[in-house]
Amino acid sequence: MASIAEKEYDAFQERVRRTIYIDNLSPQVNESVLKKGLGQYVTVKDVRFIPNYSEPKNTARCALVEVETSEQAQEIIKDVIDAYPFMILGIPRPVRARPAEEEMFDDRPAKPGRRIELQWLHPNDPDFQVAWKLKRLVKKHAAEASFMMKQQLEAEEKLAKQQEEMLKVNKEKLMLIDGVMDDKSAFRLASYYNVNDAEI
Amino acid sequence: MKMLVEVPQKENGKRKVHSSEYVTYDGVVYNLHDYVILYQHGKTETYIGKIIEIIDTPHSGKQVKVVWFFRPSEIRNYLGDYKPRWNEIFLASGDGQGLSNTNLLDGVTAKCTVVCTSKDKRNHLPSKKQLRSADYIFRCTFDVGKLKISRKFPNKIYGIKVENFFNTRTGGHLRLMPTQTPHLSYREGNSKKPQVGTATLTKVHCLANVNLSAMPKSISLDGVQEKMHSGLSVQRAKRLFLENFSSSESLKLERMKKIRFSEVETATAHQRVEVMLEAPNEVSSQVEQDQATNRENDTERSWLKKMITPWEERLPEAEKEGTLVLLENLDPTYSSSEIEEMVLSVFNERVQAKMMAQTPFSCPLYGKAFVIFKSKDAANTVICKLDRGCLMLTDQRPVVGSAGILKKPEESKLFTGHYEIRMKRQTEDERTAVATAHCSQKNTLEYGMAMKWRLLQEKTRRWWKQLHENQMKEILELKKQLKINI
Repeated sequence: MASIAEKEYDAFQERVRRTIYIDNLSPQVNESVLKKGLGQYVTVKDVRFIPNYSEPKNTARCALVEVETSEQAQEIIKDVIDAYPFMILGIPRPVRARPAEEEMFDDRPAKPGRRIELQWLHPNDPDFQVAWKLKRLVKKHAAEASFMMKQQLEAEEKLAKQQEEMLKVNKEKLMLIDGVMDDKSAFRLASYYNVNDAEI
Repeated sequence: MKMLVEVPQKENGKRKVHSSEYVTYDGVVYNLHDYVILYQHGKTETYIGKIIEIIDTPHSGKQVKVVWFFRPSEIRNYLGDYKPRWNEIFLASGDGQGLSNTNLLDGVTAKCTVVCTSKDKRNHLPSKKQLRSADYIFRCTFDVGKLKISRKFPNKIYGIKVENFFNTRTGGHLRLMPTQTPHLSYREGNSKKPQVGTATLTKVHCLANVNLSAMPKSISLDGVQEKMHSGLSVQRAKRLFLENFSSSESLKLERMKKIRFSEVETATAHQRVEVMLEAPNEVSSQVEQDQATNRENDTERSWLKKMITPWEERLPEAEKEGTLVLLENLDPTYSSSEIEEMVLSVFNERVQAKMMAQTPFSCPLYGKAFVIFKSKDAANTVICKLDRGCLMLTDQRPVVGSAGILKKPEESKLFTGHYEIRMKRQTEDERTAVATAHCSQKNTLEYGMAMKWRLLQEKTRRWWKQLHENQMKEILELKKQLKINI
């Protein structure tokens, strides 16, 4: 009986070792995209998206990808995603990956043999006041975290806008060059200024 | 450091003080008779007061004198059977400490709206719109001398006519304009200042502390014990505890589970529940079996059905029905089944629980879980119990429960950071090249942009790491003060 639980837990841990956690994914990425994308390097066994209950909006999605062996998992993190900016389904925001941890799995089995003890504190207990403060601290930290999340999103959007502007400028520049080359006006100007054709 | 420092009031003649009608602080204009929120750094709750005077001293700058409002939590020992509404506060009245203070502007953080819903003849009842938009309401006073709440309003509070505290007939804000008659009567009160000034106004760091130490019937921990001994509350507490830990039903289930609890013998005894979890798998399958063999009500059947539907659908449904509770400050290594066990043993409610996955954004010390109860009442009772009491887990964490609220995802627009590039002559190949997953090469424009993103990602990663470290430090500091060792 206990051994069944232990076995399942061990199997779970093994699965964790074989899984990578990947985020900064576009919400349009789905399972098949991930499978194909990463399939260029490793064999993907399973893809599970982590549902986003507490943060709203269009934030980056994250997924747990289970691959064949734990070596493959390490490889893909080290050699592919960390070494080069790897992009899935859109440029240029690269994805990030790291080895998965147990707490990332929301369907994990319980640790076998663990005892949870619960205790209602008496209001008379001096620790009651401390516990109250701890509870308040929890809420404060949650507020801090959501604020930080907002900041992060704003920074990301800012960067995105900046790059979009730069892209537009570049595109116009290129279009201009293209246009000029197309209607041979570049060559005409070249002969006017006695510039070699090859140098255009 | 923000301190609600009390300024000793000298006689009017010795010190030049100018009274103003408004003061600007931090970009906000505070008028006389405004309701403000004051905060002292390090305290857990803000204080609400009504500005009754703005003083301009030559040495210490501008100060505001406020009459306090009490939150129900501050006077919980004197409420008796009175059940305050969720946003109800109590106006201080009578004589004594805690009625009013003069504070530096540092402590003022914001304005708020307070309406009076008392049926006193001198009060204009607020419109529904005002009621809804008000931050707080009050309809009782708390006499700081007699330590009693009362629905009757005395004629004067702190020497000021009580009409100033009631609502006026103005449509929007309940701010008394200086030109209206109430202000004139305030002037009368002003002349009485020397008389009031002789009241003992000592340095106040925290209003709650004033109540704690200075007053004879203090709200100290001893006071709580006294109250507990006074019969009525003990019985109430006993009933509550017995409801929580009724073992009769759970013993019927065939599980390897021991629940030991000791009844409240003295006011200082702790309640202990030890739950030994053996073979959680077997337990959960047993639970399902037992649930199937239970009396087949419709509720039971629908409960089973709910276990089959996926969580993505269950959560919004539960939120609508009001049965969704969010438990926070759990150990992040707990699993969903352990949470269900825990809730069952403590509250005797069968629930469905789901631990939320940890992300790089969540502090590694906190675990959260969504719990769906069978009924809205059950969910609310549990939230209340968790709020009022402190349920401590194994590693000295109090569980925090709150109503579960799901955030809805926005309409999917283009993901931040992904661009559409349409060039005039782009071949099919080129277009698909962008769409497939690939590594960027160093000589492309794309690479440069990607590197910038990498930079941002690294920056944000460090932000989060720093935040989590700070939060952990705060938690550990508080935990050091805990004396119990479970």
